[in-house]
Amino acid sequence: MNIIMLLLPLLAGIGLSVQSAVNGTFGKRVGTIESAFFTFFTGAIFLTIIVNFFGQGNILNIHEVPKWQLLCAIFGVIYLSLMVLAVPKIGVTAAVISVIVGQLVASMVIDHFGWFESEVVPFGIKRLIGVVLMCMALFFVFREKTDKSAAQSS
Amino acid sequence: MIAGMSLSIEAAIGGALGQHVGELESTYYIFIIGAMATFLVTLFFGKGDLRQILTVPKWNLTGGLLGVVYLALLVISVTLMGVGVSVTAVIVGQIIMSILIEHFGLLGSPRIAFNRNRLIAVVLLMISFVLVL
Repeated sequence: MNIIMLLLPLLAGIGLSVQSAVNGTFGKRVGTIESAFFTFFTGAIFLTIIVNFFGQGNILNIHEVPKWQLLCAIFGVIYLSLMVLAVPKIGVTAAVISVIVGQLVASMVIDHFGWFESEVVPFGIKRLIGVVLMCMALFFVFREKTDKSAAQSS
Repeated sequence: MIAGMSLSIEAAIGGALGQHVGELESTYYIFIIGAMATFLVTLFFGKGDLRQILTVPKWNLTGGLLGVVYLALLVISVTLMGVGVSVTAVIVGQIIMSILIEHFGLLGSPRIAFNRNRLIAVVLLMISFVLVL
């Protein structure tokens, strides 16, 4: 039972990587921002159906929440557009790993200061070591990249 | 990395929004506003060719559906297992899949074989997750 539940987020991650690869290829044909637009547009259509059947909240409360909470959509746009731009240039794996490192670093900053109503989790020595290891991981992913382009140009 | 930071900020703000209007509704809102914003940017600054949508292979058009599948599965698993386990499993799935895509050159990606550098990077990342999460 637990194993099956673990498959759900695993599949979600697989879906996210496939999306990056698909959108990267698609973006080369139709353009970066066009690809982001199409992704949001079709996603919105699917969600219209899903929210209608399974939505338990109330979308109309959107008028009552603090205005800064409405900014989340803009950050979604930045993410999707930058991915479409980056994937054809540096490849899926390098792009995905950079995103993950960026995500973890930003989450730690948000945790540390408790921004956006999140719980405060102070930055400690364990997290510091984690950041150092992540930077090393990025170094290895991109070293291979420069090795290859150096080999090609010579 | 800026993309990743944006994703975290989106998740943090979207989570706060989700508590007021519901998780699915908050995602729905993000997609609607995202579609409108990118539509405007496309209209004024788009240099690409949207008509290509009709000529590209159909699997190129699945990005939006995949985004929704990702979010739906994430919402379900966060409810069942909590954020920590879910996020870790998502990241593991992402890394494995992206390495597979490049190793076999799937989905129009150039072929890059799995090598020692990538192995070291993955091991380092795994250790850092244990420390961070």
